Amino acid sequence: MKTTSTKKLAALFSLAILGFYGMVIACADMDWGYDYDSSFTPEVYVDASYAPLFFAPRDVFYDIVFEDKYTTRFNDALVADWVTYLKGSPLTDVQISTLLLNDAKTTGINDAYNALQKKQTLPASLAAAGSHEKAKSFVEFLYHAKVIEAASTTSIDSWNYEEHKSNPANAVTTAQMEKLFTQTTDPFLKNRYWFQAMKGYFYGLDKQKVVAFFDKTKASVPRNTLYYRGLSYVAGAYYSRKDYATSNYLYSVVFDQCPALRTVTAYNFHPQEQKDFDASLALAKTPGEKAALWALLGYYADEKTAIKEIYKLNPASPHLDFLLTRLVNKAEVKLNETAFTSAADYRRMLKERSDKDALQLVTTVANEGKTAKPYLWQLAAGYLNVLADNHAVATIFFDKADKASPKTDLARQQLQLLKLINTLSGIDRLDANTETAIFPDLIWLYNMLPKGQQSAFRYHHAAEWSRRYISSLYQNQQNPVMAELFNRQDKFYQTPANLETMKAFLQKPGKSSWEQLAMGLYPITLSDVFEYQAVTSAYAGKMDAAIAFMEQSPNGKDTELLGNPFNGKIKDCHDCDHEATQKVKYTKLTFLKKLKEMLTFIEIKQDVYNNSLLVANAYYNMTYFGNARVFYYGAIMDQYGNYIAPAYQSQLLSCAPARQYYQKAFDAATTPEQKAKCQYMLAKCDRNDFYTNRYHAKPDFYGDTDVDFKAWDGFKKLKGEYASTSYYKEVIKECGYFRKYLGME
Amino acid sequence: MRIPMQLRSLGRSFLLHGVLGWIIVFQLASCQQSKPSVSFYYWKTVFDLSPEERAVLKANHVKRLYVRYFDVELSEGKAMPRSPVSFAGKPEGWEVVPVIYVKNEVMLSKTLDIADLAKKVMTLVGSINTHEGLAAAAEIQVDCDWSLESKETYFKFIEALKAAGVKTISATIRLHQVKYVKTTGMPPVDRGVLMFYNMGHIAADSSNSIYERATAARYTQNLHDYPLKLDVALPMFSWGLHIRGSKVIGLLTKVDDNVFLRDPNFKMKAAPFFEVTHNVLKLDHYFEQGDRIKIETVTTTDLSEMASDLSGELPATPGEIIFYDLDNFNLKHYRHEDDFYEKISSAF
Repeated sequence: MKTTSTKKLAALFSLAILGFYGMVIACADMDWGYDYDSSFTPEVYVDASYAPLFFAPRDVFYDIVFEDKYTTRFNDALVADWVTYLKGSPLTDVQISTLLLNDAKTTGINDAYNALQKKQTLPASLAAAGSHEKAKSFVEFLYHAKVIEAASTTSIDSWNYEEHKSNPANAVTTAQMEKLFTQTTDPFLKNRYWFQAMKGYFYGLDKQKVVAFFDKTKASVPRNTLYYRGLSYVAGAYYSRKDYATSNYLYSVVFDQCPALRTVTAYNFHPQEQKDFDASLALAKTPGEKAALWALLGYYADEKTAIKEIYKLNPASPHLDFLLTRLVNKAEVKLNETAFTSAADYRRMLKERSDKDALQLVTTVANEGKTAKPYLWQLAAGYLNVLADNHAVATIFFDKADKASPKTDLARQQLQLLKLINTLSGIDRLDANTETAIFPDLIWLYNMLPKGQQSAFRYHHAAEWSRRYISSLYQNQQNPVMAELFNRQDKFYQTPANLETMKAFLQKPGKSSWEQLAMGLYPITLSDVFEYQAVTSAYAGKMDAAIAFMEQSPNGKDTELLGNPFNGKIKDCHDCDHEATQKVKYTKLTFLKKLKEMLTFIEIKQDVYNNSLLVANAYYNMTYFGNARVFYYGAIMDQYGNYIAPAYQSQLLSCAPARQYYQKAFDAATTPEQKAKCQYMLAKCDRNDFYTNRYHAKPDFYGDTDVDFKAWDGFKKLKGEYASTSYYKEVIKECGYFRKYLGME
Repeated sequence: MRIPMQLRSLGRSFLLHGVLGWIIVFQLASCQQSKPSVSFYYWKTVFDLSPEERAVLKANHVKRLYVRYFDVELSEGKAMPRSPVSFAGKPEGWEVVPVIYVKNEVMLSKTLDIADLAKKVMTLVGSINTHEGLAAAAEIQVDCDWSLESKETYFKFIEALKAAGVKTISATIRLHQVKYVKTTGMPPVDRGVLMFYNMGHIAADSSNSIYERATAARYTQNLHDYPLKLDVALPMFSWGLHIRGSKVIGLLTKVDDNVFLRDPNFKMKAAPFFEVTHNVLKLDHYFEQGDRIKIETVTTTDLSEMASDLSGELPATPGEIIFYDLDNFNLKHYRHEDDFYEKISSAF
């Protein structure tokens, strides 16, 4: 009877939380959708009341993640019940709902009740109720129920200490509820007073009193939702006295008979030890009760045993369905997390790791056809056979399921997906025939189903797995291009032959539909390849080739660099360089052309000092340490972060080309100012090489440096030979390391 | 080479703390109290000392207890207290230092009102003390595994606690925060408590995530240079890891070898493992045949080793050794000497 979501029913359920806590921590390291590693959608045929109990390896409950409807679950039903009861009364439906779902303070129910007691006129908003017997009963009921409710809801989201302390239900009110339950003849009201008394006893100082009251009255209470809510309180009272056998047995009764409470009962079902569960089973009186206990055990611990036992008790039990989906989901997740390099490798893994007991159990049950939904078992048996590399058997089961199953969209999609997985995982070699066989389904999977959208239907794993599987087939068929197209590999372009064959393929006219399908999956474009070639050529000093390649990269060539790449400042401050006014804004292509122009000037000995210095700055800025990292940003290298992959460290971290031209500039320098500058720049290169070797080249570099600087040769020369230059003074002003080196700080 | 504002202000406060440190050292020296005192963390939601716990406190001359008051975590995006402590009996004879565990998620929240949170924390601590009839807290300890992304907020939060009137603030310091102090920074507190446990990964192999000498050694060499005065927290707990295949699927708190030794459904394998021989329900967990249990524990030898290794690395003798955590189950592993904890702390 609460609308505020911050209030939680604490006392009944808090005991169970600790048990889950460790599990949540241990598993909460991923945040992917349920189809990250699953292709079997439990929603297809299982009743929605079981949905939160579907297999959810990373959540407490499937889809809803946590149970959060403790205080709101029955609001709608409650309002509906009272609206029906009060039909013909002066109270409107909105009034009834407002009175039921809000605090007494805000609704004025206490004033109305007091007025009724004193036979006075009711407050204006409820005045009409005063002359209607049922409406008066409603006011009286609410007055008491709101007192009990204050004790049954505890706020955990509060900085007020008092609100965290337990607030037992008023014993006088509870006794009054029992009295009204006994005296009232109206069955609707009687039933509700009974529930209020149950609630009052459970949230009272001694919650065990709820057991006695329940045992005394249960025979006369109708078996409706209120009864099973009350029975949950009894189960909770047994739990708190550590009688786990009775508690779990009673929860299983509620689980069986009251679908709305399935999450609550599943959450609270906690047989601490084996003997607790065995004793619960002994308490179960009928095959239905035993099946419900096994169903909860299946959820809590062991689906296989639960399915076997329930199947023996009642093959048509609806509890079997959700347990089956859990069993299948667990079995597939175990296999889907494994990597493989070839079809043979994949098959070997399936043979070794597939759950043979599950396969045998599900196959047997599917063959016997005694369950309520035989097509669900056929579908599951088909899929488990796919995962056991039994493709022919799987086909037979899928055909049977196809004939018997209800044809919803979801069911059709599920069957199509499982058939595709079956067909594809049975293929050893790709050729025109096999391509034709799977082409339409792959088009559907890759292009027609929505991307990145989380619907119930689980197909993202199949999309990802099928690409890996097809790629592995091509790898074995020595077709690196097709293997790469289906499954991009970081190292592919590091092999020159791969690069050339891929370029040839990307430029080839008249590609087949199959090739176009593969192209559509591939994140790299021809423009990216040319850009990659341009960038690697530039690092190798091949400027003509770099320019020629860059010109052929429509996406790369016009990409602007953020700062002036020819700047060489005392302090490496990328943001400052990027924000500084730039008369000329260089793109990747114009940068290369300017660089080439300066290199030519150096060759013909024109203004060697200045051109060498600018070229050196350009090479410096092209590295990770410089202001033009954008130059190497691209889809193939994919080096956007602070960690540079080993394959690219010799290019992106090396100061060798810059050093070469700083030295050239130094040799051509004519003034002490010029020479001082070159020495400082060489010191920066020393620093970068030191950082590279000591920190960046190590895979576990965390960003923390134990040594920040050394007495670089450039520092020594600056101090020893150029201390009288104004550049020297500028360095002192801007470079803290140099000041430290000089002992100034 | 600019020094960010944050670090400059840290530099100033460190200077100040340095001076305070000298005064404290001088006072300690004048009292001739050179051995670290013994203390304990109390980490249960109801403060209710058992006779065994009281006996250990007495035998080890414990004067102070670090009691977890509440956690702070995010609830629907807002910082909220969780499981505030209640006292079944008054802790007569011990000074209580409230410990607040703040989840890093709170410090990562983009909408956090730092000053407001500090005030709420102080008010709640005050309410608990008033409600339970305890003296106002002279010190508060904050426990937060802050990260690079949250350090600025966390350090501001500490400053805000000071502004809200906390006289003395201590903070737990994890080993990685010592090793990478340049990047992780140092909270502006009066002293740190080095958490000398939970140093490894929770893994299915035979390693011990609570303590391993080799793992510890990778961090302790950096202790010399840590600029904050450090006390030390040592582990005295054990737990079990429930392993299926190569994955840890559950944590079993407060278990040791004895829990499985006499159970026919479990077979002892090479330490630290047990293997499940039959499917069974136990400890509110389901164990499947073939599952393994790894018991991670801290032996008396481990504790002596920690004391010896740490005392060689710490720049100064710690003022206090705080054991985690005071609980009957944990105490029974170290019961051979009444003053065991005092002996360990004397080894520093």
